[in-house]
Amino acid sequence: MNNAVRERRAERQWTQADLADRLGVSRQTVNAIETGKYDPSLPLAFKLAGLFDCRIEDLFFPE
Amino acid sequence: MMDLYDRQYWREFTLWALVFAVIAVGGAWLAKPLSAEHPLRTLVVLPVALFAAAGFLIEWRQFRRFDEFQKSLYLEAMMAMGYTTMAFCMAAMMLVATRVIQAPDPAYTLVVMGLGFYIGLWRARRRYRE
Repeated sequence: MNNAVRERRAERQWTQADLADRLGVSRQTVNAIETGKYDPSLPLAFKLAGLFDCRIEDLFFPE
Repeated sequence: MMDLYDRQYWREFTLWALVFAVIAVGGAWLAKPLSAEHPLRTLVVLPVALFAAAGFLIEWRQFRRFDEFQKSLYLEAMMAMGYTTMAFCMAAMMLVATRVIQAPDPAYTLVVMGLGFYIGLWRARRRYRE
C-alpha cells in the first residue's frame, strides 16, 4: 500500500520522532510506515488521519 | 538488534539476571552437601525454578509496551522460535527412535529456542532498522 505520510509530515515540518511522539509509537515504526514496510492497523491509520486532518483514503491508497 | 527493547526492560532484565545468578549459585551451594534423596534439596532448588519463571513477567511487561509494529516483529520472532524448536524436537525424536543418537539433554531445547528467537528477530528487525 502506498501512502502520503511522509509528504504530510513534511508539510508540517515534523520529524519522524515528532510524529512518533504524537502517535505513541516508535520512530522506527513511523519510518516503516512511510517506506511502505509496514501497513498500520485501522486504529493507527485513523490516528494518523486525525493528526493530518484528512480522511484515511487521502493518506493511504492501493498500489 | 536489541534496540527493540527499551531501557526499562534492560534495567529490569539486568537486575533479574543478577538476582537469578545469586539464587542459582546459592541454591547449588546449599544443595551440594545434601544427599540426592534429602527432602530439603527440593526446597533449596525450588526458588531457582520460580525465579526463572518470573523472567516471563519482565518479557510480558516489555511486550505490553511495544507498539503494534514492534509487536508484529516480536510475534514473527516467536513463530520462528516455535517452528525451529518443533523441527529440532521432531528430528531428535526420529533420530532417537531410529537409534542414530541417544536421547539429547532437554537443556538443548532451550538453546534451540533462544537461537530460533534470535534468528527470527534478526530477520524481522531488518524492516525496523532505519
